[in-house]
Amino acid sequence: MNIPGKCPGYFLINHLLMTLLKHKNMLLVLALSAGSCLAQAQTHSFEKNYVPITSSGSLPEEFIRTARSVSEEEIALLPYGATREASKQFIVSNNYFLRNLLLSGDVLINDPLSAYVNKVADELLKGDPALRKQIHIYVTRSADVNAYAFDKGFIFVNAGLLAQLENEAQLAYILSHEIIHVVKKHSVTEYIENVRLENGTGSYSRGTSEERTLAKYRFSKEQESEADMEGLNLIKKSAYSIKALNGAFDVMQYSYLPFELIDFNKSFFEDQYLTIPDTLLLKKVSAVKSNDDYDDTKSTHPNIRKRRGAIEPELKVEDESSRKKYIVSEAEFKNVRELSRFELCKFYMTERDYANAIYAAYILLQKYPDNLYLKKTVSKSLYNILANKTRKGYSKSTITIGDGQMQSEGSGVPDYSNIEGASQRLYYLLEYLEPQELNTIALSYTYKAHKQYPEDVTLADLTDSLFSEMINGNSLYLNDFSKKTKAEIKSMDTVKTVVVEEVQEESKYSKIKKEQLKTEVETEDNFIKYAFVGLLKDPEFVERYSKVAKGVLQKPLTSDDKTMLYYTSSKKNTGVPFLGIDKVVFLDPFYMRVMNDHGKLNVNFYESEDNQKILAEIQKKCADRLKLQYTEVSTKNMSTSDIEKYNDNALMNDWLGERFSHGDNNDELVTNSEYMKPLIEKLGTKYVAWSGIYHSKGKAHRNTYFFILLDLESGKLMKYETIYSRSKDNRDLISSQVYNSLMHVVKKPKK
Amino acid sequence: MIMKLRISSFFILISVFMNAQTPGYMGKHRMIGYTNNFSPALLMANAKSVDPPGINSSHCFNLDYVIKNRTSFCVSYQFMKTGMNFDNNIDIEDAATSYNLSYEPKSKLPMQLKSNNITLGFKFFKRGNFAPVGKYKKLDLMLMFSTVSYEQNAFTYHDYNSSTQVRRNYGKGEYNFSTFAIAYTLGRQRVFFNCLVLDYGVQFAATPAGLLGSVLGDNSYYVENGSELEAAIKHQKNVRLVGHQLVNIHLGLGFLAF
Repeated sequence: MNIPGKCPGYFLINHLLMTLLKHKNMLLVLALSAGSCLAQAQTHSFEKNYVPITSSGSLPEEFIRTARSVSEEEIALLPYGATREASKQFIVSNNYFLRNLLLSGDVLINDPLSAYVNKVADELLKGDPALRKQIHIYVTRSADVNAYAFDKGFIFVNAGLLAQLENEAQLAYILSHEIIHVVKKHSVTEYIENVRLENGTGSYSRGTSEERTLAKYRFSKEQESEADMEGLNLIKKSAYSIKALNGAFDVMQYSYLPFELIDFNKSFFEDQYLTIPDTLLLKKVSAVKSNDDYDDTKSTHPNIRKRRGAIEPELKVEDESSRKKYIVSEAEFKNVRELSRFELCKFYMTERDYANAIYAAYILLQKYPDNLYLKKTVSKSLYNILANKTRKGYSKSTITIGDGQMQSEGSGVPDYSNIEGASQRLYYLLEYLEPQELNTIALSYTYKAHKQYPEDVTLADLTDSLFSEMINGNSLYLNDFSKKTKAEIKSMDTVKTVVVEEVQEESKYSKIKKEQLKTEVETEDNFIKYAFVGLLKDPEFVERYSKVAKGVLQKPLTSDDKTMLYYTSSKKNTGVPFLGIDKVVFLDPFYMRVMNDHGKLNVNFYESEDNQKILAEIQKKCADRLKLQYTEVSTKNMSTSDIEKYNDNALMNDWLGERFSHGDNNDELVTNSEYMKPLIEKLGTKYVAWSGIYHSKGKAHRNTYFFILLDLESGKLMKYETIYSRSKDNRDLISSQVYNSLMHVVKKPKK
Repeated sequence: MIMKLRISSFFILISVFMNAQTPGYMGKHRMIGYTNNFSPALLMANAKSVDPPGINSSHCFNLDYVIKNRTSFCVSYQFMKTGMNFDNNIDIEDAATSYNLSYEPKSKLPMQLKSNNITLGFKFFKRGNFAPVGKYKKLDLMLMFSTVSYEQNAFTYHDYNSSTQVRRNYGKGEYNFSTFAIAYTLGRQRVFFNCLVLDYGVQFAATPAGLLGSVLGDNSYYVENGSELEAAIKHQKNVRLVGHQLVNIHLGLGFLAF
């Protein structure tokens, strides 16, 4: 039930390459086999706070096995025939990707979302227990409004989809659509068809490349239509409402919109003294004008109008009265949807979609005005938008690895003119606020939240950072703000005040001051001057602001900063500085070996998996030799009881995914950092290293090694290194490269 | 000998005082190794026969020290041995002197050219590699201390004018020379078991004295006495060294010490 233009439920090898490079922060899925769901339905209280969902219980078997062992087992069962070779390729690539997805940490296990989705599946497949046993449904932590199926019964439903649904019947229909993909083996069939197509065999022996591509899309669309129709038949066998299904297509059609459309009111940021001028408020928002009859020639899915039109005649059933929108539980559905919406705030921030995060929090704050999590979402997002606005030099920063890139682009606020509906006002406001104005609003909002929750460390830190930004980023000092309101100033006899204080005769300077005051009071442009009238009455606010201005609260230079300064100021030193770090946590390294056959890349999955282990061994060996304390967050050799290990990895991947999207911009806040503190304490170090190798063999061997070291507390990129060589990825070469990286980590900088 | 001592001292000083800010191989910067250089003798004599073709091999002991990420400083001692043709033929029309002096020893072995070479050089490894692993280019300065030995009474003098043929005794039987060469090597090193280094490649070297002497110099030597013979042997030796050093293939094994 993919949204238009998305990939189907499997990934071609070439696509996989880029996906793996881009998505270290890949997916979150909740794996629950039919009978092993331990999670119980829980109704959360959202009034005060929200804690993001984590996995619990035992790890399912599929999380523990290696892709290689699963593949070998499946290949042994393959029948001989014309499609055996293509099927083998499919099994190997499918399992490799599935394994990476399952271990990415993006999959939730035994949590309320997955428990509920599986209950719906139970209801749907009540009459077919054998099929139910084959189906494993997981909820993935992603904001994309999407669901997809893998071969062998793996179905993934994104939390972003759950957040948008209107009722349980719609979820049931989406699940039935995906179940049909599994039953009909669409993934493998499409893969084999694509292989034929690429090789120009079978019915594709004639035709141009363009014709073949169109044929590929046509085939995919046929499968989607089949899943729509058969899925409907499946749901007809259940007691779910049929009429409610039409709404499922609305969900897909408007998936690009927020989960609710509520007018954005600027009073959200305002108080008695801080008044945002109306000029910053978009007068009329663009209407929602989604086109459901778009050109789908080069799409894997038919357009929404065609899909809706195809099933609409089938939606008429005689016994609709006996059918229900909710069978499992309406309350549970709403609870799950709310949980997903709270999760979305985090996903949006991780994806640097800060405006969307603020808008999602804005919607939820209407219901839960005192929720700390939501307030922090707003504060963190405002801070990061500000960080991008203040430092335009960082608007595009890139880390390149092999053919992949980790890129930071733009300010995180898309052009408001591309936004439709009620949220457009927020986008407009954020786009047109000057850095000084945004800083003032962010500080005002965050300080008030901090006063409400004084024990929250994140809000306290954010407040300090925003104070610092006022002084260091925007040159706004205490005396730039008025202690009196406009009304108070207007009521004062300013002329008299000036004249009495100064001289008998009105001087040139007093005239200028008087004029300035008059203009300021009459105009709305300098609204920030009066923003802190209320806050300036708070001694703590004044004291902290003053401390930053005097440099007391400014972050002192760390030894790392000094080292960096030394190296940037020294002309002779062009190399990477030594860091003098004695303990580092290592993540599972990345390894990909590909064959470059005239531009067509084929991943060698077995070798990639084997070499990943070798690289991890080399890292350990080099660390030992350098007396670098080695600790790891790894998904290797896990057992069913290793849920803690799994959660640590998930946390780390979440953090890294977000951090990588910042590129080499050290100023942007990693919004997930607050969840890292317990892990940092547990690991005993705040430094995390991730390395990997991308090796391609075509006419020549090309080897790209990378090493990244990050500070989990500050999000600072401590070291980033890529080494390209036209050579084989021999063990001795890799050892040299890893040792060199770690040597720079361990060695103390020269005094 | 003094020269060798000085070179050794220099190497030791570098090893001791250089601050190891380079990775080397897993922290190991020093390599001791042995390589065997194979030099084809396609047109010239080899140590055992005057008739080509043949192969000369030389033994080389190396000390490498990693001084930068991709650079090693190398000192090596090489012992080489080969044969040398000697045929002094002066046949000038209408000249008073027209003779042929040939070397015909009882042992049937050609004149023996032995050389003790000291080499100083740098290995520059390819981008993306760290010394001592990977493909490299090496530039060397080779100091060659050569000795040519022969049987003194093995010369036959044939005077064309008088048609006489006399067996003669010439020179000291052994002469020492020194010269230098510049060498360029393309090679590759692999490390196994964290300490064994496999080194292979091809070397091209040129002795300026030999090249310039044979191209620009006067190649006619009148050998009437010992000192004239020495000059002729020196010339032949230079030519032979050019041939010997021109192309070498080497294969060696090293040990990463510490």
